[in-house]
Amino acid sequence: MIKGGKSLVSSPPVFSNDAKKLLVCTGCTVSIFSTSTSLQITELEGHTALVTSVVVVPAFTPSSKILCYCWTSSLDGTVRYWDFSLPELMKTVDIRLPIFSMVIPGILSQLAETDGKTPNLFAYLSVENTKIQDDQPKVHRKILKCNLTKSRLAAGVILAETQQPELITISSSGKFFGVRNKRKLHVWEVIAHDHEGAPIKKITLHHTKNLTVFAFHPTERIVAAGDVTGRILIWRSFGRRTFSMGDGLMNGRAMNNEDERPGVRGDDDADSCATWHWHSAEVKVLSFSSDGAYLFSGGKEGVLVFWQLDTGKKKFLPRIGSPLLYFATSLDPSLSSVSCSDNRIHLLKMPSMEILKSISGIKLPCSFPEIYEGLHSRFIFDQTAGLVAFRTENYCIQFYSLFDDRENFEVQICERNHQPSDDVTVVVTLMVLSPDGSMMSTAETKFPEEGLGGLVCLKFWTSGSQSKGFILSTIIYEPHRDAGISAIAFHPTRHMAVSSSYGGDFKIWACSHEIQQRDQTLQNSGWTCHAVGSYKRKPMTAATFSADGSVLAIAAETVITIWDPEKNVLVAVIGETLEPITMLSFIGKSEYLVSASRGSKSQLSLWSLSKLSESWSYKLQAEAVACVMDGSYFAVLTLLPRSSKHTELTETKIDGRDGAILLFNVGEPIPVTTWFVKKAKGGGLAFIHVNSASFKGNVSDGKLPPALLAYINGNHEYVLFNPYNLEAHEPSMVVREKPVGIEDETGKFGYASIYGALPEFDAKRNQTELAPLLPSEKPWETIFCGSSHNLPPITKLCSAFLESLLEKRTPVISD
Amino acid sequence: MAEPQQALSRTFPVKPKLKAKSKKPSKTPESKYWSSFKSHTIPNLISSITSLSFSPATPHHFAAAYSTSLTLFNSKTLEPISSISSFKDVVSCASFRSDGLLIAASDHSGLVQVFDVKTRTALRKLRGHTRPVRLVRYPRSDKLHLFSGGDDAVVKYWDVAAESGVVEFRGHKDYVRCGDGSPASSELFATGSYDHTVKVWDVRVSNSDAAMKINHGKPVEDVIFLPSGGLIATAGGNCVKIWDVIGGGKLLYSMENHNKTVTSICVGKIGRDGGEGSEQYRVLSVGLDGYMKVFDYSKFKITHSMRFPAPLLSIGFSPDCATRAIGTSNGVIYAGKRKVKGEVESGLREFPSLGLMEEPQRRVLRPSYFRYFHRSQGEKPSEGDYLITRPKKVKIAEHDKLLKKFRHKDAFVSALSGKNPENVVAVMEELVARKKLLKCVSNLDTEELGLLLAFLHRHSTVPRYAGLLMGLTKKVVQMRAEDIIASDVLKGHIRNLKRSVEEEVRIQQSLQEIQEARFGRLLHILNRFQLFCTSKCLPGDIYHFAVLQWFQVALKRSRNLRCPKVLGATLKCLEQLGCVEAHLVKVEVAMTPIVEVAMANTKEQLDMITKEPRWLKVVNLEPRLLHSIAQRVKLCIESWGWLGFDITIVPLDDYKVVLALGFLGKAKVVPYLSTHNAILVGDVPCMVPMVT
Repeated sequence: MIKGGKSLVSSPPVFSNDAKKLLVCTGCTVSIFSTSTSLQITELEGHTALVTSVVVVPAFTPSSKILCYCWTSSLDGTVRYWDFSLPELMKTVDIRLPIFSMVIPGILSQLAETDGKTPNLFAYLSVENTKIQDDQPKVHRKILKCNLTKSRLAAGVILAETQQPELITISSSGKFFGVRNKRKLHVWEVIAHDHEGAPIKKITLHHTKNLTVFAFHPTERIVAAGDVTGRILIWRSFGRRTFSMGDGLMNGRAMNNEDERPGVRGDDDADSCATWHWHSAEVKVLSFSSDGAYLFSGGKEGVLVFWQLDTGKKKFLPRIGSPLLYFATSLDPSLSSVSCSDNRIHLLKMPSMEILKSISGIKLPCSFPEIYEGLHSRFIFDQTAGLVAFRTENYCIQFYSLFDDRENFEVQICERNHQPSDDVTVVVTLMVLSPDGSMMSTAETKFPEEGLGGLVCLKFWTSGSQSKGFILSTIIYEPHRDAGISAIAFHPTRHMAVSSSYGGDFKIWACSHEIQQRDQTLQNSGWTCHAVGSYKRKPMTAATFSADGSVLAIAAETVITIWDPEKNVLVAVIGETLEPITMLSFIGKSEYLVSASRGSKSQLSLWSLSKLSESWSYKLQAEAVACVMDGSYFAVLTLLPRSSKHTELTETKIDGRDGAILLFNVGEPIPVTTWFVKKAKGGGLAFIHVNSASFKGNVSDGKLPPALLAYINGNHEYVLFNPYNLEAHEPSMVVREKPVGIEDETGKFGYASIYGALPEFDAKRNQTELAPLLPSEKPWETIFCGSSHNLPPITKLCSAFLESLLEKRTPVISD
Repeated sequence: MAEPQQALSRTFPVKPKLKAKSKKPSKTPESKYWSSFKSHTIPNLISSITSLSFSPATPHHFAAAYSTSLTLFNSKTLEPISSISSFKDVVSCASFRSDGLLIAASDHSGLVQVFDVKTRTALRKLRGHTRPVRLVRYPRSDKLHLFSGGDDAVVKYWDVAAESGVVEFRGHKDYVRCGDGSPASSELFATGSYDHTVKVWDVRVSNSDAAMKINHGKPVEDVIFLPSGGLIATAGGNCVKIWDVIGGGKLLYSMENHNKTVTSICVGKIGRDGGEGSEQYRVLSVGLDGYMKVFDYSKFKITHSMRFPAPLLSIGFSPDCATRAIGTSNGVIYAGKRKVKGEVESGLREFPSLGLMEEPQRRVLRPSYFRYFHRSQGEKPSEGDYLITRPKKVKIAEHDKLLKKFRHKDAFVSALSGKNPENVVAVMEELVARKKLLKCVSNLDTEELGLLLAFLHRHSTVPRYAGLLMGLTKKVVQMRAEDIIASDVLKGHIRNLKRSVEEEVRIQQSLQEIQEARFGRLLHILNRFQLFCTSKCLPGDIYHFAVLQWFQVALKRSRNLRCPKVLGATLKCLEQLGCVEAHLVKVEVAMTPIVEVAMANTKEQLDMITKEPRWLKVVNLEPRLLHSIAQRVKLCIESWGWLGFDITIVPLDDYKVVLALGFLGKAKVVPYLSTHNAILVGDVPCMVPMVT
């Protein structure tokens, strides 16, 4: 089983002391990347939930620079201590509260080292109190203090309560830390010899807008904060009155202008407050340079701004291409990193603001305006090369290697300049790879401005040299006049493709390869229209070729039309479904055709071409369908029906899993296997062929499965597993269940075969079937597993437990 | 992992939509070579150019014979150097001696004269021919003799120094028109005559029998020995034939690609720069059809073809492959020259004997000398050096710069004031993508609005842009109505616009009629036509598009041709002539007050035939008389008959098609050449076999 596709930008990354490694929170693990090669070195595995912060223990002497210790905190309620060079877990502190953010001021100040005996180490945590029930309207996100040395929370110390889980920001000297809370900024001072009950002094700075981010100056008492309107506020000499003036440096200067404090609001404890405004939208990144001379800021525009702190002069690093999220400086002054929301971390060479390397993760899902209902092309899979491809925001298609868990290449589909804040006016609506992965076809739509200038474009691509990237071969403007393209399908063996449109026709395109010239330039390998067809002027909604390419099936709304692609002759019409078919696929080399439709009466149907009739159908909302190329299996990713009646039960049992993968053998209507999955909405599914080279390391018994099933969820996290090996260890994201059949509707006759299944009756049956699936075997195992604080109250558990015992006998009756 | 430079999102300039490429395969290296001759026209020579000959010695001047003069041209500058005009009659032929110092020329008075090229004085006058002399030629290496031939059918071999004939050959039965000396032996030469034969003579054999006789089959217009000396190429009629001399005069190949008489042939050479790839010889032929064709006689294949807008009479090709010259019947020389790399070096190599010039002493550069600091900056990289090229400067158009700065209106105006409508449309599309186009329109001031309206007037009915521009026009008029009313200039623009829109509406209406009437019948053909077009990625409504486009071309051309003022026009009928492969569309345009029938070739060149009384004008060619017109003819085809056809028989250059255009239009016949059938789209549709 291979997992991957994690977000690199869920939390700020941290540099190691020698700036040769970058620690990035990736889901439940911390990945360590080399800054020189930008490849992953190792991983810290141990947390069971999202890791939220990493704190590297700093080195104060050159000799200790090689030491690699870090603290991590996670939503699973633990703080762990690691030696990340090995990597080895050294200590675990269990807080039992999900931690959103953690700072450890103690390790930042040198005082801790110089002291003879090691004092207690305190961390400040931003946690969520899950124990309080929802019916209490009180805020339950708190900032707490924790004694890491003794592994316990400091009793009774609640520094602040906030509405949202907040990121704690700390100054680089470890003297101050703070959180933002709506329009306020809370800043605390850490006293030199901290102990559990030590009083902590706090000031609050006010602003009229919601603050988004703030940063402390490394040496002076300056704090910079950004707000939602894009302004940057600089408070100088904050906390002069409140905090003890141990150093006494800033004390004398500001004494004489006691009563005029420009820009400072109300009774805030600061000398002055200046405002800088360049950003047009909210500021997401604020950071001071290590010498304190510059301030870096960034936001939605994807432009990193360098402010000279004394003069306010600006320099820019424009065209990063994506909204910025975090900025991290390293101890090496020439290296820093900036994290972008497209799941990319750029390593910057500092004074020249040059991008040295980029660590690209899987592109995160971005919202595209869905112009056509039920468009089925979120992901495309290269089944032989093990690649998944999907659209990105900047009009590209990213090809991501599932086996290597890294980006292979990106193809720019539309030659357009992308600004992160722009309205989306051009959308890549469709993309299709040919079965051998050598050709690609994309469709894009340009939205008109008040009815002017809309354009639909069909493009054909051929794979470039060394199978890196794709080269544009042909552009066809308005292939179906102004109608949108609903589907594209490639012929399995020949250079032929079909595109169907909502305008009511389909076109078969053929590629004319002419003689390859001596100088290797392919001449005139353009795609030309080979044939045009339509069926009763109905919108054509889906298209597919059979495995040998002799049959072309095209869905004309609710019926399936079968064509001979060579002669362009209509062979047969099969029908009909309740809703327009959005997806069609032949199952391997068999004579069966699977169709899926969406809408209120969504349906998954299997059609037999030899009988020209429907074999069976389910009332399921199929999110994705995947077929083995040379077998008789197919898998369907379906969303579980949301029913009010069974919500409670389903949620406790399935634990947030909202979808199921059903593996069917084409001969039988009962699924062979069922897995329940999380975040199935917007997910994808495919069978991936395994080539021995890439997979050798991951197979323990040396026997290669014929194909792996790849499931990619709505957050672009994916898992690859062997669907045939029923004894396989269970993937955590995917919960496998015993093959219990969802009630089938084999061989409908009479009324049902003419008018389709009765929807209401159907729904009821499915719900009753689906809910008791889980506990059917050993319900007590699933009910009581998990950490104790996650357990539902006894009253609920009891009823579920009893219910499951009762339910156990019902399948026997229904049989 | 992404490359660093890829990490930043790139900027893309605004690009116009791609146009459909021609189906024609792109140029082969050879045809690139032949079209690399930069064309240069030497006009205004009197009468036709009868002969062009290049000097065998550098710098390869060439002599053009026309009317009663012989002019020497510099082959580099293509400027006339000197002119010899001491002829009494039309000069027919000229030939340089092998060293290029003397030139022999013949004229129609029967006189052959030998001139000093430098002084232009006639050194010798060879009298002996009684009729016009058509041929005079020096053998390839012999400097003392020359041979000539003329309309008296006699070929003479002269001793130039003594001004006396050495041998006379009386083997030809008709005019001797051409001849060439063998490159293998200076005693051997071939002559071609209108008696259809080419004879090879040997001066060592004094009896008047030819050493070899070749029957070309047509009056021979030109004959040359190919460089090996073993092959002869003859031209006559519309074919060029290659003969094997050594093999006893066997016909190797007959090239019949010309449509009209081939007038002249010569040997051309592909001189590859740098010398790699052995020198390849080709036969260049020109004909009255205006085509120059390059024939690869080793592969028996035409490798290049080029068209000139006049009948061609003579061709010459310089030995250094730098110049070719083609003479026409109307006093124009189409000279072509190409840059030859290493021109300078080869020029130096010609004078190796002059050992007098010492290599200038190379001075050792010292830091005291200014050039010391510039030393080796002009150095050329040697073969094995690794070149670090300076990054190419990306040229960004003005409107792109402005778009980058989000100055949308300025970018719009900048594109509008440019010349290229494609750019304007591309900028508009970009503005649409940014949802700024209408805002830009509303911000334009009066002058800029005038620019926009003028642009819309010119281009809004162009089918390529109509989809966007028609809608925009409507919006502009709606949005800026008040400003337009206020300004007289803008009102004028609007009037123009209105006119072009009305014209378009009329076209569309008549198209609609045609479509309704004929669509069913033409469906099959149009489907095929549609395929042909979609392959070039045209927008969706192909039928409309194609019709419109060709129609407009025809209209525009006819405007330029003769009608200073076209009051209005309707498209009367449109048919595709022949099958898809013929690429012909017939368009009949009824313009007040005349009706024109035009034929449009959809492939590349648009040939159009306008029908004036008994004259026919093809684009780029002179008007010529029609073969015949039969008016009000009664026609019966099977059961179907009609009275009153105008049948026009039209000679075409490229196609061996004799079509009666008027008949096609009125009888509603769609010829379908691929099946040798014609479809009658009358009341009783039927298919009629065609006689070819």
